[in-house]
Amino acid sequence: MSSTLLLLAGGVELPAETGDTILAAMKRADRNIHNICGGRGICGTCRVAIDEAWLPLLAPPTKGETRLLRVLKAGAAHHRLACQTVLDARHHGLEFTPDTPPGGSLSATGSRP
Amino acid sequence: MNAAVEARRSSQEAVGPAFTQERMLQMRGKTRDMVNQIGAAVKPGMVEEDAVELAKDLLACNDMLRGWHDVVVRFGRNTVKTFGDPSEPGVVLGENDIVSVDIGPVWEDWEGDAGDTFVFGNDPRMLKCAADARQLFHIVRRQWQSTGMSGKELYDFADAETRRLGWKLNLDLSGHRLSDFPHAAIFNGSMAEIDFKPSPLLWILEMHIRHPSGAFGAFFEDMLLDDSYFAV
Repeated sequence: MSSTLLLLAGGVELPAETGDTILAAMKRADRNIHNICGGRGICGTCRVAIDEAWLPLLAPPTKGETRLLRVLKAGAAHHRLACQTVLDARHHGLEFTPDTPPGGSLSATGSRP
Repeated sequence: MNAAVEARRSSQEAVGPAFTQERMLQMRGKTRDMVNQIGAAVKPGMVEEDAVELAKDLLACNDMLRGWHDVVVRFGRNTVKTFGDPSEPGVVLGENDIVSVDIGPVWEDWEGDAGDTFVFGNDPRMLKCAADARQLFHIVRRQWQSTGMSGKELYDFADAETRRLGWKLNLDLSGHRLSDFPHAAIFNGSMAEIDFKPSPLLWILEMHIRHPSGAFGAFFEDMLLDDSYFAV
């Protein structure tokens, strides 16, 4: 049975349920977060910076998440993928900041070549 | 071309601010090279899941692990499966077998997409299937080059040509945009649904064909470009 959590996303309160990923909670609340690959841990656009005090309470990243985080530009040890980070009851109050990696415009602003 | 079609074309063929011909072609070359590296690294006796991990390790070593779509390596009977369908687990590559590879990496600001099929051993049906997937790509590409066919007309043509060669075309994989990352913000539909002639450099032409029995299939895809970009 899920229970309600309250996270802090960029300093703003974000309701979530246990069992959610951070990405799912952000999307349900209509918060702005990129997820070009649909939350499958492929594109890295949903990268978030976790407040370092909370890192030990998160499940360690899988091999696949670790491998992708390593190749994302300007990555740091406290980065995780929102689509791969599953919340449980220990995460009430978790603080993070969306931090899309550089590279890619994430919008269609140009015209045909 | 009427105004409504031209408006759709303008919208669906937009690009982002990092788009350049030089970079898109560079990324095309890097992506095709990775497909060939993956094909060369796969060996009989390997389990498909291990080949996918090997492919991801190779991409990571070349700063191309980040993707706009997942890394797909399929063995044997899994080669009939369409994009996004899970493979039957634990399939081991045989001495006479077939492998398809499909990658969609992002390198810096640019997307790539390439796919090919590799045959191990000497099964003549598999060798012909792999060769025909590549040949179909070029048959359809030349039709594009020499006519004003729309994306939909090109895939209707591809379907007829595939049947003429004795295979079945998977129309779930029917071409798509490519651009500076992410093309999905511009147009996430298929080439087979557009009612104008697709422009060079902006589209990926995909051919996924299957043996009529469903025993195996072959896949080939590359950027839609004229003959001068191919050694054929």
